[in-house]
Amino acid sequence: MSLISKILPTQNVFLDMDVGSKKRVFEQVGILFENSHGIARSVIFDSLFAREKLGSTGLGQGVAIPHGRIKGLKEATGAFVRLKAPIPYDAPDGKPVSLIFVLLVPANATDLHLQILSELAQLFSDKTVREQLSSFDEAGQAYKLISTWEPYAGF
Amino acid sequence: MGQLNYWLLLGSFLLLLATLSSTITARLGLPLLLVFLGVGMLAGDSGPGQIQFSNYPLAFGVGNVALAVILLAGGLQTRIQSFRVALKPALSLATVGVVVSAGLAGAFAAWLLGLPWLHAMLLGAIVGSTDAAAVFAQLRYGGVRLNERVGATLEIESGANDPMAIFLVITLLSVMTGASQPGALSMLGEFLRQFGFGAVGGLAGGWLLSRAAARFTLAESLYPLLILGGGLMIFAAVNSAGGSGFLAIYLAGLVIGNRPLPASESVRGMMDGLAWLAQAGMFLLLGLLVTPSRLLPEIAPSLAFAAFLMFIARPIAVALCLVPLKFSRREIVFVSWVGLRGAVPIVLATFPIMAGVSGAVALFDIAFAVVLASLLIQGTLVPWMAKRCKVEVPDYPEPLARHGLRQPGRADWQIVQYRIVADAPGEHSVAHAAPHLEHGRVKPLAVLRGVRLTLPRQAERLRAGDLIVLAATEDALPELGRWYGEAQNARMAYERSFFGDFVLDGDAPLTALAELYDFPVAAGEAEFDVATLIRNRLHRPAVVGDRITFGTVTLIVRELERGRITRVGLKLDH
Repeated sequence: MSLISKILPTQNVFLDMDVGSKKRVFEQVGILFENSHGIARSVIFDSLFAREKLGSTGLGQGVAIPHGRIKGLKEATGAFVRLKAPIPYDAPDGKPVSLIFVLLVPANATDLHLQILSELAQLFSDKTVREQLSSFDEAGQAYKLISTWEPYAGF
Repeated sequence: MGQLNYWLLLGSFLLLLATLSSTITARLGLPLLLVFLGVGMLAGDSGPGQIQFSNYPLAFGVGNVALAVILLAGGLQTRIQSFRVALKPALSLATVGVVVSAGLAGAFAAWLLGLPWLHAMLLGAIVGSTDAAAVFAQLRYGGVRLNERVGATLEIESGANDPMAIFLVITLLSVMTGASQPGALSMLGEFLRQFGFGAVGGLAGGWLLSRAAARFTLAESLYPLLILGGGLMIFAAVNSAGGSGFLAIYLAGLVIGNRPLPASESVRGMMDGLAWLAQAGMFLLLGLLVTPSRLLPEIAPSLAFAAFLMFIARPIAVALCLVPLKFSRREIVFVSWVGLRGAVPIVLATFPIMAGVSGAVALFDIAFAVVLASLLIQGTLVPWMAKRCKVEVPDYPEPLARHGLRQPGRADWQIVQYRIVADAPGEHSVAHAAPHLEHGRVKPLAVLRGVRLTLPRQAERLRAGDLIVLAATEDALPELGRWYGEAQNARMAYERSFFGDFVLDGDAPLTALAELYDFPVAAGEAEFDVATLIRNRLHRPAVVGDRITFGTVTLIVRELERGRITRVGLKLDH
């Protein structure tokens, strides 16, 4: 079983979110986690935004994995967002981004969250995964694909 | 006339045969020069060709001119920008490195072959220098792009070490023939004269020649002739003044190649072709000259000597030169491996024959065996070693065609052409969405679909198979190549495995990163950004592909701008 499946709640999959910029995505994500975890949306926004200042979290091919450490968070958690229209993201290949996985980890996180990050990168490096995630009509399908995906060792 | 036609027919037939058979050897990964040598040997007196040829003076003459041409072409292609990371190591290898490996090889030869000391040292000097053409032909065929430090070091070394080896051979010969007394002082004087005259003559001559080329308006195809004629003149003039003509012509090429030059594409193209012709002609001739049946009885000690040179003398010399310059162990292993011997040792081996030194033919045979072994063993495995030693960096597709613009002052702009490859990132994009457009380094000019040429503004979205023509500066070419010339999936997978999944800006503060990714920061480094940290840890100028590791996190230099690290890959090893 993948680490991703343990940190992605069923309800945290959103298809065709209609936002026009990176900032607006982070705001929406902030609201989402404020409601589910009781952490101020500004804390989440600032953390994600600060990470982007170190360099874009875009992976290329329309995928981004924004991530940050959040004080007060007990366990790592995540959300998958598919945008209605791709947004500029300053990714290494210059392509706009439409598939976004947000990862939040506790302030005192261990090595574990690096493993999650690397799993996420592996998940989205698969062309068929990206194509399927772009074509699904229902959030449940996307959730199923992500949570049942198995990482392969030793890449 | 009949005689001339006979030789011309024979020579051109051999050239054609060798050139065509190169398609087979390229597939096998064998060095091209080996083919020319092989064809020459087959045509010679021990092979089916049965051509009797033992004209050492002719081989000597052809060899000298050919070497001069090869060095001129090598100088023209050496980019002065790479001096930033490669000048010190290359110069150290080209001087100290040659002396050390020649000395060690000579000492071994004295012991193994029972040669008199002077003869043994002469043999060491003959096989002392590496061959630029052999090295780079092999890298190009292998489809390997080396990291800039290693690539440029090898390139400059192989261009600059021939004069040193030639100097050693000439000096030893003058001692052996009694023309000069062996003495430290006279040798030092000779060294200073050779290198002083060579350097001054080459730099000044190159500068004058480049000024002349810029001053006079000639037909495009005459510029290469101007450079060739001028270069050979510098070579001959410096030689007759007692300097090192080989050093001079290499430096002249270097100066000319790095200054604005009219018709620089055709000069480079033609000089490249001439260098190949020089190599090919020389190797054919040398193949004819050697008598394999004479080589065979002595083959065991010759191979032992070659093995010593490859696996002991060269690595010691390289380590001695590069350890103080903080090269990594892998880089040292690779540079040692690419000590390819080519035409130079064989040409140098004709020097003692010409000078009438006793036993000179035996030295020639051994030098020949060394070159053969080096090309066959080291040459064939160069691409494999580059992968093993992790000195390669991701390659990018070259433009289909490129043409430098004539412009006064800086010669930066080029017209380049790409074919859009299926699944390339730029497929389905509009022409003026090219990368680097916003930095003013790229300007789309036209799109060709079939025979129809459209301006970028009117062009439809690009399709696979379309041709796009752009004006671009040199530094935009890697990105343009990737944007139009390569399917993105294969590329991304490779880049990710090389640079890791995430990209950081060079000015990202280290403390923020360390907190996010859990790695320790030394007290003195807390204030650094990523670029400063990497520079500080490397103790030497950075190149793309340099890496430092913290536990499970690796930082890899991904992009540089004028020596400054702008982007860094972040790799998580799980």
